[in-house]
Amino acid sequence: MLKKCSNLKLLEKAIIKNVELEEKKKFKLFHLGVLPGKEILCKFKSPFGSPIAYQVDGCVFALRRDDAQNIEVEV
Amino acid sequence: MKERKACFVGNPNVGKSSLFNCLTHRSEHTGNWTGKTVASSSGEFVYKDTLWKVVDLPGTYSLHYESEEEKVASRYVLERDYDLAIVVADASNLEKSMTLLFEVLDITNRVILCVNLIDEARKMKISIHEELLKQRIDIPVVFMSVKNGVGVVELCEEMNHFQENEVPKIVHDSKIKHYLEWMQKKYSESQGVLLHYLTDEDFCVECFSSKDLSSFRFYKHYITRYEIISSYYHYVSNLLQGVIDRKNMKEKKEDFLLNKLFTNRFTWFFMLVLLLFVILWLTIFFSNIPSNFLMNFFSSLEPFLYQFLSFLPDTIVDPLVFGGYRTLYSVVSVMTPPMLIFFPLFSLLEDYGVLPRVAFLLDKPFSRCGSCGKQSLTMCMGLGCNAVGVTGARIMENKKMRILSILTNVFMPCNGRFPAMIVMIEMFFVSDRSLVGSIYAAVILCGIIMLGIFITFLVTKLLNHFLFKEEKAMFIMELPTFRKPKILTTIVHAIKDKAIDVLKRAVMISFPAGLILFFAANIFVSGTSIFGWLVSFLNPFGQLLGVDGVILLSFLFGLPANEIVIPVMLLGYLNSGSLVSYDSVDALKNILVLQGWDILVALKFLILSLCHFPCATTLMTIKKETNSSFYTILAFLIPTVIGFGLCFIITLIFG
Repeated sequence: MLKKCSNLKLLEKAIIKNVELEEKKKFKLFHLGVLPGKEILCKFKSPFGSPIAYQVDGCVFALRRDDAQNIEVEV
Repeated sequence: MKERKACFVGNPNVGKSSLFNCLTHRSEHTGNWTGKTVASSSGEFVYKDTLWKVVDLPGTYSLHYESEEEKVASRYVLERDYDLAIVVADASNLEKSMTLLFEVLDITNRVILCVNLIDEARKMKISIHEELLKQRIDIPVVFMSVKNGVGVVELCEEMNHFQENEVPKIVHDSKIKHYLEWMQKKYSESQGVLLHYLTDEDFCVECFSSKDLSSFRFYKHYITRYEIISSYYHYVSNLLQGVIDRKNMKEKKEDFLLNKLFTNRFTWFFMLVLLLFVILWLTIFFSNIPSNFLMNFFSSLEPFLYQFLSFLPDTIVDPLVFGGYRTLYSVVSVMTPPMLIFFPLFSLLEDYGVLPRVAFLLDKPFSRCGSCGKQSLTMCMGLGCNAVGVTGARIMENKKMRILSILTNVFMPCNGRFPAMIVMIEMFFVSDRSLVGSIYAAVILCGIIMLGIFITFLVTKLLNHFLFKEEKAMFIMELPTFRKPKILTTIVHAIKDKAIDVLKRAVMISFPAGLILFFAANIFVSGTSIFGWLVSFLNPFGQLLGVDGVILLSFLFGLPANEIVIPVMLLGYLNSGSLVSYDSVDALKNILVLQGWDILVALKFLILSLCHFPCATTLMTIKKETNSSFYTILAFLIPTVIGFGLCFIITLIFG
């Protein structure tokens, strides 16, 4: 089932399908391992709902909710 | 002895600086967060028969750079003015480091790979097939844990015995391969350099005439930066197949717990305030007694010093002892203890990895103001020293966020200011000197810093509205795992580098400042000292704000260094031509009360300490970092106007 990355529940895993972001952000995420085909885990969320911490490979990183909305994942 | 050159390249926060320090016995400060090293530093060491000159480059994810700090690393590697490039990788996240490794390998064959943090990876149950990795990449590989000293000797051995071998060429994606083949017919350059022609406009212009440039302009539009890095990435992921096993990967218990506490709806605020409070309280509580002790000690030395210098004429001895020496020791005794406590504590938190969590939490409020959570990192640096905070703003991704954090950094009271603030709080807000008193004092100081944070938000929002309406902010940040710092080393380093450094600056400024003050107070023009003239000139203005000329003048005198504000103030009040030596906080209070100080004046003093123009060093740093007089003037005016405004309002309301 396809869904937006921002809609992943806590500790839910999914496979990254598509990253639709402006070049600069895409780039930054790329270096953190965010690429189609990789497994992404929703690790923890800020009490304000944004940003959200995800894990890809061994790397945990923070991403704003608005940006996570543009990443498509498959559960 | 042979002399050779090496450089350290690697992702941010993989321990390049630690390795650098370990080898050179230097003490560049390290920290557990991305972007700690913003400028490269160099050092040297001797191993057996070779003198190694090493350069620690700022952390970067890729040589096809995006930000200014990454450009430094990229250029250095491209210029190939070194015998060895040492790529430092993080064992717990090897994939991430590998693209960078191959970008370097595409430029030069002289590379050694250091896989650092193997202890970390073991703890997280990530297994790496070391032999397989060595076989696949075919360059010297050293597995190490710098923190525990594992692998350092092996690295030195590899460095000394390094022999350049031909490394198998990286096979790129077809589009890029096509370009490379075409270019290699014309230029005999390595693949990496050829690819940099595509992404680095400046580099291109340096290497080619405009005629040559136009010959491959087409490819520039045809191949994007993203595709180049993807190409590296695909190569790496094929190569690493079966090398890393994360099947049993576990999160460390402390990570789980702390991440929970920091993000729980009910505990996060508590955690943040607790952090701030505990640091401040420990600083206040433990600096009280040593401060008084130092003060007594130095003032008891004064008669001896006077006697010792008595062979000199009075006109020389007086300024030296009553001007220079007194200013010097009052600054040193007020500043030293808080600094010796604050810096190590802060460094411990920094090394542990708490700061990225703070940035994570504060991103939402900052995003409302048009900035991002990373601004809180520069603010934390500002608590140590504003000039450092301003330089640290390089970690911000775009110009807008960078300028915003530079202009608001001064609202974090630096170490030159908060000892004076502590003294002021102890004199007028908290009467008892017990444990309970110190807790009250910490709460009040916490409040003042919160006010600073609030003003930061406000100013950021306003500036964002008026100066940079259209530019967008972004926030993508790595959250490293918590790493237990080596407590003793961290403390020693913090004291040795930061505290002593700041203290040195204070000493260097306070002694000459003391001399100038002495003369200002002792040279009389038509019956009144120069100092007196200045005070009476500023008095009406001061009264408007509910303070007096002396306070304003002492802040002005504090422009070179905020540390001397209180000594100048005392001189102004006592009118005795020299600083009266005071030997305790209470003695100081008596002096101020006699001058009509009450809790309201003390409050205004605190506000002015928090909000006034940055010190000269900070202003110069701002000029250098922004390269703009406009922003420098703005940095001077904004806090000054706010501070004066707040005092004016308080005076209007409370009289």
